[in-house]
Order: sequence, then C-alpha cells, then structure tokens
Amino acid sequence: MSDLERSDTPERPGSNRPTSGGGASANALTCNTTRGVLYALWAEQGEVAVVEDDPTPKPSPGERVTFTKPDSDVALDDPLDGSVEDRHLIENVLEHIGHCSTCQREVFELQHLDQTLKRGLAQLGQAADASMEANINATIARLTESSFNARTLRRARRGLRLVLWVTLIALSFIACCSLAIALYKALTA
Amino acid sequence: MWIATILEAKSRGEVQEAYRRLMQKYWQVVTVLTTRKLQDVREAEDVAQEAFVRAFQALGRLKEPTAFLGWLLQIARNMATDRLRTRKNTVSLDRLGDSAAEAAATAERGASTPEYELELETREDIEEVLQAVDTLPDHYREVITLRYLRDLDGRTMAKLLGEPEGTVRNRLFRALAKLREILQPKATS
Repeated sequence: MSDLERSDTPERPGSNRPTSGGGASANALTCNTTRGVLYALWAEQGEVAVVEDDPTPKPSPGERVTFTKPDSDVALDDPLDGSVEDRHLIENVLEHIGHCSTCQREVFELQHLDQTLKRGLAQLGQAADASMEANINATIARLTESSFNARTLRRARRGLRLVLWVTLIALSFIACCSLAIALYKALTA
Repeated sequence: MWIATILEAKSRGEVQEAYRRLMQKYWQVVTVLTTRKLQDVREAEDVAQEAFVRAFQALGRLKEPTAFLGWLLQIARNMATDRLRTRKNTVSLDRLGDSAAEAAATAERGASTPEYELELETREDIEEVLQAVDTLPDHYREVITLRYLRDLDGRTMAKLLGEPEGTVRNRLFRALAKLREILQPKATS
C-alpha cells in the first residue's frame, strides 16, 4: 500500500519540507507530499497537464506523466513561495511523478476532476446567463419601486413631523397667552 | 473604483445603468451558488434578486468597496440559509415539475447511440462532481465556483472576497482535498 493510499489528507508543503535543496533525492519524496504540492499548485491557479497526445485518461505502466505549471516564472506565495528551495521541491515532485504510478494516477484523476468541474460549472453558468437579462430588469424594477416607496414614506414622514411641530408651537403659544391673560387679570383685579 | 462610478452615475441620474453593469458582472456567480444551495432555480433567482436589492440599498455601509463580491455573497448566503430554514418539509411544485420534465426528456432521447452513451457518461460524471461540490461547506463551494466560473486566481479572489490571500488559497487547497476525499470511494468502487 502506498503512502497516498494510507493517508487521507495531503500534506501541505511548508515548514517540514522533506526533500528540498540540492542533494535530496526524488525517491525520498512521499506520495502524500507530492499530492500536497500538486494541490498547492492547483490552488495557485496551476493546471494539471499530461504530456501525451493520447486522450485516454488512464496511464499505462511506464508512461511519462508530468505536472506542469504554465506560468512558472510567477512567484509562488505560501506554501510555495517561488524560492530556489521550492523550485527544487517542484523538480523533485516532477521527477517523483515520472516514476510513481500512484502519483501518475493522482495527476490523471486531478486532471479529470479539473475538466469535469470546468465543464459542469460552465453549464451552470450558461443556464444562469439564459435568464440573466430578465432577472436584471426585474431587480432594477424592484429597486426603483422600493426607492419610490422609501421616497414617499420619507416625504410623508417629513410632512407629519412638520404638522406635529406646528401643533406643539401653537399649543405652547396658546398656553403662554392664557397664562399671560390670567396673570394680567390677577394683577389688575 | 466602481463605487465611485456608481456615485458619479447617481449624481447624473444614471444609477440604473451602473447597477445593471454590476449585476451583469456578478449575476452568474450569485445565481449558481444560490441554485446549488437551494436546489431550486426559481427560488434561487428570487434570492439573488433580493440579495442585489439589499446590497445596493446598503451600499453606503460597505466598508471595503473592493470586497463587494464577498459582501454580496454573504448576503445571498444568509438569505438562502433563511429560505432553507423556512422551507422545512414543503416540496416546491416547480421542482417536481422540473424533475418530471427532465425525466421525460431523458426517456424521449432513449435511443442508445454511442454518442449518447458517451454524453450520458460525461453528464453523469459532471452531476456526480457537482453533487460532491454541493456537499462542501459554503466557503469551499464559493472558492471552487469562483475558480471555475470566473477563472480567478487566489490573489484576485482574495481581493474580491475581502479576505487574506493565504486564507483563500488555504480554502482552495482544502476544498480540493475534500472533493477528492468525497469522490475517492466512488472512483475506487
């Protein structure tokens, strides 16, 4: 049983990089680390590509399979920061994949998943696009309607507030006048 | 940048056009994500419309304008979760109708030509992968959708979602690992 089969979670290449640097051997690299590097490159907008014209998805024994990242000059951030150490790690991973049938299968499966996801989400996107214009018009109508309602409510509230203030001032004025008259009557009596 | 455009458009009274452009940009992503979450196209479109309306109405409260997409997705996600909660055990008649129409269309195409078999196999693969994506947590589903629907790299995605780049890349990494984990038993069987 290979390392790949033994472990469920791929190891993220990071602090305990197993074989980076000059003298490290590709064979010492575990399948799990290889898978971790593949996933990290994928997360970095990598692309799983197989150097073969044959479109059949399964690798035959001894078939040369490589993992390529199209724009290799782009600096890779954590976990692969594009350092010389990481370049060695990627080289080792490529070498490991070339010899390990389990990892070759992993690359093929990743590639298949990548393409299936691309196709599946493209179909969903097209379905969403089909009704987009009608929905946009409906949303804008909703927005206009709700902003009209809000404007009307605001205007009504402003009027009501004005009426309340006028009433309050008038009542206060009447109260003051009554008080003044009462006071005048009391003083003159 | 676009928020300034919207404010500018508002002052010119062309805000609807600015909203339209913004919706055209993000409609696909929001609808696909809500559709996969609610499993009902019409309800998902309704939620997407409402999410856009709420987002546009509260635009002034958005602290980080570049993170509009993350904010919008959060609104849509919360609304979809609320819908799921209120839906409880009711079954949408629209959904039943769609399923029946799909079944009838499949039966009509019945003739098993090799092309049809291949197409069926591809469709089954796609459906299987999309179902696996549906089982992922919301955050993972979002990054996978953005990757394949909008072809975004980790850096751009982080900017649009308003999250640290490392977090987004880590989420992509884990989403892929989780997807492989879900699909692995099916592939081996």
